[in-house]
Amino acid sequence: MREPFPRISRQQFFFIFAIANICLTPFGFPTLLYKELEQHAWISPLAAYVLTIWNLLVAISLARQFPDQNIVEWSRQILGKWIGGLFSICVIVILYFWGVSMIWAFMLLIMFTQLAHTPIYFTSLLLIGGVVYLLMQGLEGFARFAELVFLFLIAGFIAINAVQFTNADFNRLLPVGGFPLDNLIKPDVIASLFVFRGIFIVYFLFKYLNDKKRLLPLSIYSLSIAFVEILLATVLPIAIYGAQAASKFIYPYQESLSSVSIEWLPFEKLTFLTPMLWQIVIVYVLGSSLFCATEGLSSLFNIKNKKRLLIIIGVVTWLIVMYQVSYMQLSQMIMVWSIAGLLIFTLIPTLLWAGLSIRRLLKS
Amino acid sequence: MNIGEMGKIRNIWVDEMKGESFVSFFNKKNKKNNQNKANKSDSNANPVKPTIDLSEQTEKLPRSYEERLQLIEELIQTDDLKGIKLEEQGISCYFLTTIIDLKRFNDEIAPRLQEWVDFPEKWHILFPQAVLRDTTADTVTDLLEGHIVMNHRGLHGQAVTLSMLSIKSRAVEKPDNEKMILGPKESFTEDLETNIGLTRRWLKDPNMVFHYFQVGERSKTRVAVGFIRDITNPDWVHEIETNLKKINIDRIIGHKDVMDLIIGKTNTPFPLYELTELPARIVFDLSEGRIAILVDGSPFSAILPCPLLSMYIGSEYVMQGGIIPLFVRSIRVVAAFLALYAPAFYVALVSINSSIIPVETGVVLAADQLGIPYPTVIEALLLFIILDIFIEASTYVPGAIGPAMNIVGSLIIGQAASQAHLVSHVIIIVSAITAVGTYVTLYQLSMPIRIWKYPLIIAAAVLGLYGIIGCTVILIAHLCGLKSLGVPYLSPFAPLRWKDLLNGAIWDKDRSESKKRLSMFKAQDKVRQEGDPDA
Amino acid sequence: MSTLKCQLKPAAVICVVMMFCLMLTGCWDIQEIKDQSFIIGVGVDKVGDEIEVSLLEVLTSASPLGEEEKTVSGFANTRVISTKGPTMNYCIEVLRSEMNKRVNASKIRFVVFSEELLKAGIIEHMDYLLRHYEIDKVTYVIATRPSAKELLTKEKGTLFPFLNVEKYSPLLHTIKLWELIPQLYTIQEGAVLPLIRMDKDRIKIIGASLLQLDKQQFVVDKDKVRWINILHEKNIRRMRIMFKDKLAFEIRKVRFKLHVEQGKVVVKLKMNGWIIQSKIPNTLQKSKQLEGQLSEFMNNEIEEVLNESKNQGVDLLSIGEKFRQKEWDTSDWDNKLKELNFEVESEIKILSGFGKSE
Repeated sequence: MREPFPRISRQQFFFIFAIANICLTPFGFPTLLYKELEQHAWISPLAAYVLTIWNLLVAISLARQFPDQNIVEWSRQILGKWIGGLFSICVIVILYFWGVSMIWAFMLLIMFTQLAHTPIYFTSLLLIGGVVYLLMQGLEGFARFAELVFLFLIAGFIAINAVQFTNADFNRLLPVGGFPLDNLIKPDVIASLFVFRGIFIVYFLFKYLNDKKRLLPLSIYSLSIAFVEILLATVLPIAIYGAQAASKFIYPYQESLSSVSIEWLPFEKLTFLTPMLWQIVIVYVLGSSLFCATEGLSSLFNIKNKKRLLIIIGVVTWLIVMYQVSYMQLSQMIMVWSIAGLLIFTLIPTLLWAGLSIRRLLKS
Repeated sequence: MNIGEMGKIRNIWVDEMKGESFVSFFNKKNKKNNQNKANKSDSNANPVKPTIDLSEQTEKLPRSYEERLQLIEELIQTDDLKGIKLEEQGISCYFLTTIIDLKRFNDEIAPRLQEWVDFPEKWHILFPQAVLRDTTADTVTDLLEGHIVMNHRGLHGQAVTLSMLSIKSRAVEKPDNEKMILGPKESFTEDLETNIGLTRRWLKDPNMVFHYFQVGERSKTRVAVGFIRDITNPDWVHEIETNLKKINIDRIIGHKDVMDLIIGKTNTPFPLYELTELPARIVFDLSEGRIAILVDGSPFSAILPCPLLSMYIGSEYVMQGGIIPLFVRSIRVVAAFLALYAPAFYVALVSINSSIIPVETGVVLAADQLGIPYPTVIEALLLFIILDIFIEASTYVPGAIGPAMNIVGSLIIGQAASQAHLVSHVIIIVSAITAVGTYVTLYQLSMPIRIWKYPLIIAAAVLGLYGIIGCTVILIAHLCGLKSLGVPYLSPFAPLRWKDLLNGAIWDKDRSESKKRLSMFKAQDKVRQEGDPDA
Repeated sequence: MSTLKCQLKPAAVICVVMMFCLMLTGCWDIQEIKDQSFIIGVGVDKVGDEIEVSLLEVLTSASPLGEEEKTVSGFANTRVISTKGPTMNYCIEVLRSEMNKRVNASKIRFVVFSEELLKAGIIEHMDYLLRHYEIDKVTYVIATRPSAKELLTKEKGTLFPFLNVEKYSPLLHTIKLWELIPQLYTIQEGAVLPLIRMDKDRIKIIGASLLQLDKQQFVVDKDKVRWINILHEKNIRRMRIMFKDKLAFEIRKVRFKLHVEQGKVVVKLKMNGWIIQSKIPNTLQKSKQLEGQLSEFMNNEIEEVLNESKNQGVDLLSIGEKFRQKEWDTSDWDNKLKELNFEVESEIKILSGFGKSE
């Protein structure tokens, strides 16, 4: 029997979207900002949030014009075969590198917190293998997974954030004014505008939605969950340690969590919870990233057997991840990638959208 | 159809295969072979075909009395076939001694035979329940189903058959597997009619229908598909019935064969159909829009579709209110989680993630582990394999020895092993928790839990909590990919249906408030009670 | 295609099996709990130019689960091992190889610095502790006299329970690592460590050691620690204030407010509580008058502590941080701090005579 065309519900889209946007951002991301912006670091997620809402607006209205196509298909239709193909490849590479870089970041975290000596090819094999297996259950299976685990994740996020409030002193965020304007245009800060990169999966998921009505408000609610989490991850370490001390940590959010001990639990450390949470989050992220890469490549090169393509992509990812990056290299890579991502996903779609709107106006 | 068309069909079929699940992806080769075989068999001959195929015996019975007798004796060469031939009067009776009531034969038939000799046409007065058969197939089928086949020289090309079936069947007894504390105490037997009758007692709805099917070329097993016509989704009934009709197999024993053939190929330890031995349970499920499949000779009924959570609705639903069942259900879920995760978590804590244990516990655990000659993972694997052996022993060893085995296993060996410092004390506690947790869940579900425990232990031993989560992701992915009759296995959690969860799937709030049926079973008649459900 | 798959399948199986075999020989993170040493305390002393690191190890007994008698705390069976060396890392490396076990740093409950070392500065030794993932940020940091090694040797499992119920010890100013971290890096926040010592088998509180950055500036006597505790709202449950040997007042609740102005800091305290001992006849009738006297007494005492710490260069109330929050100039904070005027306004309310009405 031919499998029916997969369909995901709005609710499932909401869940995937929220978690994919949270991503692993709460980890490495704030440290860079503390160095440049000190206690003003919260401005960066806020700016990213505003920019992302604009991006969403553009993305959804573009996707609506081609409801049965993904970005690879319609971009070639608008931009022509070669330019469109080039643009598609950029899109696919950026979304694919999203997954790869996040595994690298996650592997560094896991090495730091739990498994210092276990060979990385094994730890990553379990993760990538699990995600590839999950995607093989089809998009609907992936969506169901996202739905099932979402509540657990939200409970986990509430738990790890709520406890930190006991130690937090939000006066440390003062003064509000007096931005270091010079630092706002540093590459690190500009790159941080790309933190909500999860929204771009809408370009690939849109055609599978069974109900495409009122998608923008839904996405914005979903994005707001991610925004709140990332804002807390930025603000809480400052509130607990102060911007100066917080900038001395590699994983400030993890360290601020470790300032809390729950004495009545058999496990006095809550810090063990977070790698587990991120491990599930990265399943969402990697799942979305590999899904987009598979969808993109299969429509670009007209490959029918998506499952085989998925396995090949999974193996390639595994081989890439085996290369051990250092924290500094990774930060550099993420910065360059973020700026490229801003270019590809903010500038070009906006231009396309404007172009299409003008063309429609002229026609009418 | 020429060869070119055949090739096209093959190609389409191969394309279809590409869209199938992971499991079938790796087994494509096998399937292809099967398909090839099937293609061949279509062109040659039916592979499942007895040498005496009754469906081919369509010709009329021979007119000659002697030929008729000869035919029966030729077709059925078993030693329990008995023929009483009254040569002078020209009357004969054939029957299988093992399945008829001989006493009734002596009382009801034997005395009337003399009368029949002279008036062959009066058979319907002498034997009011008898029927007249004129084909070989019908006659022999009747004989095999416990009829007495009577021939008369005066009836040309015809035989009179009369049902005297008497197979010793069990009485309706108390359920063995599903204990009901405050509920009805009768369970199914091996007899299909009895089982349907027991179900009818609970539901006098004219819309509750049972469709009979005969499955198995040799076994001729009767299978009944039961559903409530105006509730159940007709597509599902259609799917099950077409699948049943497609079955071409030599024999069926119990539910496993039928259900495997209906559901198709799956590689999962999780049960995709629910078995119950309680008639009340079936009525409960039928009224939700599910479908019951009963098989003659099996004292169970299978229920489809079967999401995971529905198996947690145990017998406690007869208890008072909504809170007690909710509590009992939660306990069962927790027990299942403990049985699955307690060993893995212990191994992870002791061998890799020891940094999260408080020092007091750590000291106790370390002291407990001292002197044990092998790593924790080996200790755990050894103990859990032994535990599974004991579970099997206590389940399948006959009579009173079973429970004794358990005592030997748990008390004596556990105690001795820990005293000899071969296993630690704590792991015995963990294994006890696991064993108890395994049994609190439904029996069908305890099996996958017992199996999945091992990958989790190994993952925990190698990668700690990271491994446990990684393995859990694979487990959940597996469950998310499963479907039972198109219903996702994890519904109503995924896809999330709040109304179902609060309306009986996990919390049966209140009878007076639950006015709608569970939406995950796609019932046609959505309302369970009078009144506006949304008011 | 199918033949290719046919060949690939065993190949995949062989690959997996080979990988697992490789794995069995590879490095793992399996750390059996019985092969670990549980370190619950770390002591650092200054010996000449070098430091001496002492580790307090809990010994695991071979017979578990209550077959051997145990003390209430559970860590009676401990030993201290120590060695001298130039850095923390060097010493711990040496100790680890002596123990021939994995040092499980996650169980560390307190870090003890000797007063001598505190005077010299602890930041370079703290670095090791701050980097280490396993070390909890809820670890207690303690100062001791004369040496950390002595404290750890004599404590016999009593120190952690003593610290852990800190809320009942008004004279003890406990501090955890996470609270200390920001204070170590800035002079705009002063740090306070509890200063304790072992007298035979009893723990004695000497007072509190006040730090600017990572260096001890001076020591506050234990009777005055209560004022610091009130200012930091720490361990004030059932804290008692003795007024000229005549009256003892037990605090039920304190409300603390800080008004920071340029050059002037006003501390406002509101508290209520009970009289629990009194030599003054008809105490309750005179409560209005007594409340006034008590407030005045407290104002003086707290101002004294604040002024002393100010003169020693310790920003006890983290006024510098408040200045930063208000975007005021904090450069040359050392001198600015000395120019600050502290004023304490406390308001005391006597609720009752604690069961005696006179």
